[in-house]
Amino acid sequence: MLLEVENASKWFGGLQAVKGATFGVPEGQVTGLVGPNGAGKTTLFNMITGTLPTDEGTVTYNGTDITSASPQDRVAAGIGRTFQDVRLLPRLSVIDNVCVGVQKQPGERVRNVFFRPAKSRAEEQRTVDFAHECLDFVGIPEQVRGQSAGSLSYGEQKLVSIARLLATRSKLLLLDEPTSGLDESSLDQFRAVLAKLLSEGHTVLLVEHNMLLVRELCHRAVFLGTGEVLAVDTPEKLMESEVLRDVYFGA
Amino acid sequence: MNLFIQLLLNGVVAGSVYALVAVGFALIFGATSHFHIAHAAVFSGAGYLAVIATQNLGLPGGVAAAVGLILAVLLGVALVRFLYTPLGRRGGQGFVLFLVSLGALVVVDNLFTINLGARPAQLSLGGWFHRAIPMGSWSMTVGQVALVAITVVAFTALLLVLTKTRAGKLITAYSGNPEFVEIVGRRPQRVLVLVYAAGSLFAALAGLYVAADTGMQPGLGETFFIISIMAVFIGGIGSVTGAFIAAMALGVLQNVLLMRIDAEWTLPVIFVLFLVLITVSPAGLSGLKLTSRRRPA
Amino acid sequence: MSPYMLSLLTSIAIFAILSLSLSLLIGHMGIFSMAHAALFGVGAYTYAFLSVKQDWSPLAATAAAIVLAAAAGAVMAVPALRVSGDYFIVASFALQIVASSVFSNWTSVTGGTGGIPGIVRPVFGPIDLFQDQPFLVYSFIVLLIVAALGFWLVRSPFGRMMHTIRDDEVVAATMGKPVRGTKILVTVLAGAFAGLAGVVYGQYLMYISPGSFEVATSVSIITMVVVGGMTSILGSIIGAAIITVIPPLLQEIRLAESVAGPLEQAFFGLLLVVLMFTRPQGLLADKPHRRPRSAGTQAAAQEASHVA
Repeated sequence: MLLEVENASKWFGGLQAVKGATFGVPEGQVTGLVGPNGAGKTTLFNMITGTLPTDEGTVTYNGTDITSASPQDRVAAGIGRTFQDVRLLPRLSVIDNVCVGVQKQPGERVRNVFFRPAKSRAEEQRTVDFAHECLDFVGIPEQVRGQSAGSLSYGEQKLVSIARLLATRSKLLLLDEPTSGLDESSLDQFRAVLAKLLSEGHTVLLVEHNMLLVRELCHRAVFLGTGEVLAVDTPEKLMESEVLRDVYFGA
Repeated sequence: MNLFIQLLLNGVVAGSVYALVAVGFALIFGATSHFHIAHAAVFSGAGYLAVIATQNLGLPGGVAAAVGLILAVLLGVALVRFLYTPLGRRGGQGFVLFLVSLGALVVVDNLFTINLGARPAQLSLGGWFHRAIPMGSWSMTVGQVALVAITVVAFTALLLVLTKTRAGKLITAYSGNPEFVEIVGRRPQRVLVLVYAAGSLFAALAGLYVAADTGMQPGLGETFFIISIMAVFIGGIGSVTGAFIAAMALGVLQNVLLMRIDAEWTLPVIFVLFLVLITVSPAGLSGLKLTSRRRPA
Repeated sequence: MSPYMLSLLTSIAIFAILSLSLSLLIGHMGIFSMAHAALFGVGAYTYAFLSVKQDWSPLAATAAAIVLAAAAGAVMAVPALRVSGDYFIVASFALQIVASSVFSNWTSVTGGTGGIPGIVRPVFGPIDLFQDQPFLVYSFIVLLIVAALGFWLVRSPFGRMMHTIRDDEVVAATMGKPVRGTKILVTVLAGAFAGLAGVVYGQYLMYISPGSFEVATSVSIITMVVVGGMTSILGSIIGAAIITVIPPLLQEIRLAESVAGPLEQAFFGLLLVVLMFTRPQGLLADKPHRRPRSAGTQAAAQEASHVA
């Protein structure tokens, strides 16, 4: 298991959003995180990335306890994510948005900017070239890369956020509802990108509503209902379960 | 010891002024998360307007004070009604609201300075205001006692309104609970106006006192205001009680310090204290409360 | 060039340094500081005190001025930025008021309300800056250096990181960027530049007094940044020019001394309010960067769709 979540709990005021969640994400596989709306999937995600602190429980990555690690430390260790609401930086260019994902840029230290200009410039060009490759991978055309990210369509922005994730070179990819809000044509393009990505052997935890997509892409899935892990199995088995179907469609 | 008690009493008086401004700001900031820096204009404006009412309209002190109070509250309401809300609707980022508030503060303050000059604008409420009440080896003036009394009464009334009335509970729900705002949607106009009116009322009371006591001056408003604001943040955002306590404490501290240091160094000392306190306890005094219950995110 | 014109342009140059450095903080980092005039004053007073009263060389005094102004920036930034931008507004506003008070009251060091006279203009070998014309050139050279540094910084990956943090801290943290450290660093840099402006200002007037470093000045500088465009280097210079020209223009209208100052201030306040309604982004805005890929990779891009 590359990632292990053990007994994780989170309260918001009096409301318990996540209750003692325990599951693992095996290396090199695609694990789905499914469940009805409000089940606590994004909260769980935020606890794994460090954006929200856990009230109880532990998160272990690659054998190391990262429960109290900052988001910065976690991405340095190799955990990267996308956001359900995309969250690109609308004022920055598309290419800059992807460059932001690249880790350990020397040019991000002031001393390098002013005292090692040649090295910084060379490294920046490598960062930019790599960012362009990431954009090639997701299929964003060259001509829009200099535009502000805010000028792109929702579907294109979602693709850019995948490129940004790729730029982090993370070992563990956390995708938060990557296809939500996409129309039919964007969805097809997206599925192709996802499939390509997943065929490269990354370890992925994927939050998805679309059970057909989960069945197509995931080796196994974790079913979350009202903050609790109700089942962990292959997507087919989960879809067959009447109990789970009630939870999913009854909610 | 005598000196200490006298300074303590003076400190409670100063603390009352700070507490009024602080509670007003805490109420507004807690409910809206908007850094309403023009609150300082409402504070000084009340004093200035009352003085103008006596000088230009020849109104007696008491009536002028009432006029100043009402106009200052209207100023606060006008700011939210005509500046903040329209801008907020255009989806202005946080800085837009702050800058428009800063601009408004600068305009209002300077208009008064143009009108009244740089001399202190003194409000005469009558001889009784400055009459000393001997209390053994110490004394307070009638005005000072009135101030402290009004401060305590006003604050108690506010607490009652916040906890007992429907409007008050709604306001409290908004304070420090951004999730609530997201669920309910943007705060209704009525709640906003109420919050700004109440907050401005508190600031106006303080401004009237200062105008009647030493007179209102351009630089003076700033100094009172910044101590009050530091009190709000020391007390913990969203907590009017925290603001009240911290403001009182700063007033007392500022005066008791006079036993050791000169008056002009009390503000730097308070500033350093502020920096230390927010380093030690970022959530303010209310954050120091240790409970075993889970705290909201 | 008339002495009046020289004086105006020198003022513009000095305030452009202030406006530019504040735009780094407000526009590029998204942090509101009310203390820029205070840091300006720390630089000016440090230089004046050390060079006039302690006989330090101009170079050493300038270095000290820059360091102290930067340190003052750090003092307000480190505690406040641990919490939020609102705390920073309070801390900076408090620092400004405290600084004004200290400048006026710490008579043994600052000369109190009398200020510090007798500041000497620097001499660079055969070039004596006592004449206003060479001094203007000197001021503009300093401005150009600061502008170049600022421009360089903003276009660099560090600048991109600043913008990321400014626009979405959560995303920045998720991408591994050091949020608090960056904010503090930029505050310190802005302070250092403000301190440098203070040195040049003191050298220019050859005398400084507390009145130049008050809240009103901080508001003026903020107005310069807002008018010119918060994210544009050129814009902040233009903003400085516009705002600096207004007081002399107002003097054309023969007004009483006591009214001129407040009227000027009221006008700036009004300008801020109006701008927020009409054009909050200011005159000039930053454009998104294109960042083309290097020549060799163009061909490779046509074929590959694989990420290494």
